[in-house]
Amino acid sequence: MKDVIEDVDRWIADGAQVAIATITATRRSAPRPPGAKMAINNRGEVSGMVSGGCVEGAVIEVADKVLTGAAPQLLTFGIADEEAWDVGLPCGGEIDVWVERFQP
Amino acid sequence: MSVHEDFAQIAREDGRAALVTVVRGEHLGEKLLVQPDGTSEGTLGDPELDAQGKADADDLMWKESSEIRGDLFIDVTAPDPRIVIFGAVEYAQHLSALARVCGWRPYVVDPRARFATPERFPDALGVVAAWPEEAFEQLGALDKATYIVILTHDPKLDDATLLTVLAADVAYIGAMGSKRAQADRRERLVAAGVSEADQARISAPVGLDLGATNARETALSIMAELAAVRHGREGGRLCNAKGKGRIHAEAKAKA
Repeated sequence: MKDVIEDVDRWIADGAQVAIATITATRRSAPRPPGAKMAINNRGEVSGMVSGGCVEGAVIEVADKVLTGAAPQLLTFGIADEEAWDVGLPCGGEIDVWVERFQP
Repeated sequence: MSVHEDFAQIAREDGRAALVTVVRGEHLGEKLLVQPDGTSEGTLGDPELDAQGKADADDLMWKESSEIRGDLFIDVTAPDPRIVIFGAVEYAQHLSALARVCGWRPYVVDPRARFATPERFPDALGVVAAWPEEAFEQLGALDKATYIVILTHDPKLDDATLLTVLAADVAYIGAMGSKRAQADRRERLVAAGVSEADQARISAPVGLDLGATNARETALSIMAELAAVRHGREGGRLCNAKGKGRIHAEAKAKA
């Protein structure tokens, strides 16, 4: 929680809606551990990361849906080794990410 | 205020807590906040699930690891780990510096006020010139996230510290000393009525086997052992490890 809290506080003070994406599990090797977070607001701003950059886009899409009323969701991303190398995730691996609205 | 916000507030204050969330199945998104004293807030929507969540939270908040268990995700926030170093000696200076670099919170304790000065330990978050019991009154109680390193080279002070910390549930107790010093210490502790089981909780001599030849390297070997203990590792070379080349830990949970 500490990794994104400053930005989340600032956004909420500013009247924004905030979604939080949290890594819940990793399989094989992954760059960030369970608990690592990324925060997304309804103005398109982002804080923190859940991978080295290749799944963030998909997480943001789901976060936008959650912020417009969709139920929270548990996502799974498999990261193929060759693909991962291209986008800066040399460790490969697979991560689960829980996306929900932050209720202040 | 929501349970989510209360968890955020504990994180802001650098406190300890676990937020349990149902991430699969019925009751999706329901939350339960559990604190170290066992109190909780919110519900997962089912008393059995709440009991399960509480038990998992209580376990993981002290392991300081967030994990999925069944349909529950247990998200942990915790302060940086605390090292209390007894003995305001040169090793303690290097160990506090390394601890800060690694994101730990070092404190130094020594009743010998001439040694235990903040000037000698610029990296320590606190320097206390007092005997162990009094020191913990100032530093806050011993808990399962406190690491104790004893470097005093003074049998009287070593023993007083060991007797105090063995009475509590701490993450780690390490004591420096030669084989001879260890044997003497063991005899004194037996005489003081310390059980075999409690003796076995003392890591002595402290540190990993780095072949350290100066005080800085010795401090590094101690810091390395602390990190290994914290992460449940033995501390060998990665190139010799099983599953060669795997550096990041895998999540223990079966998702």
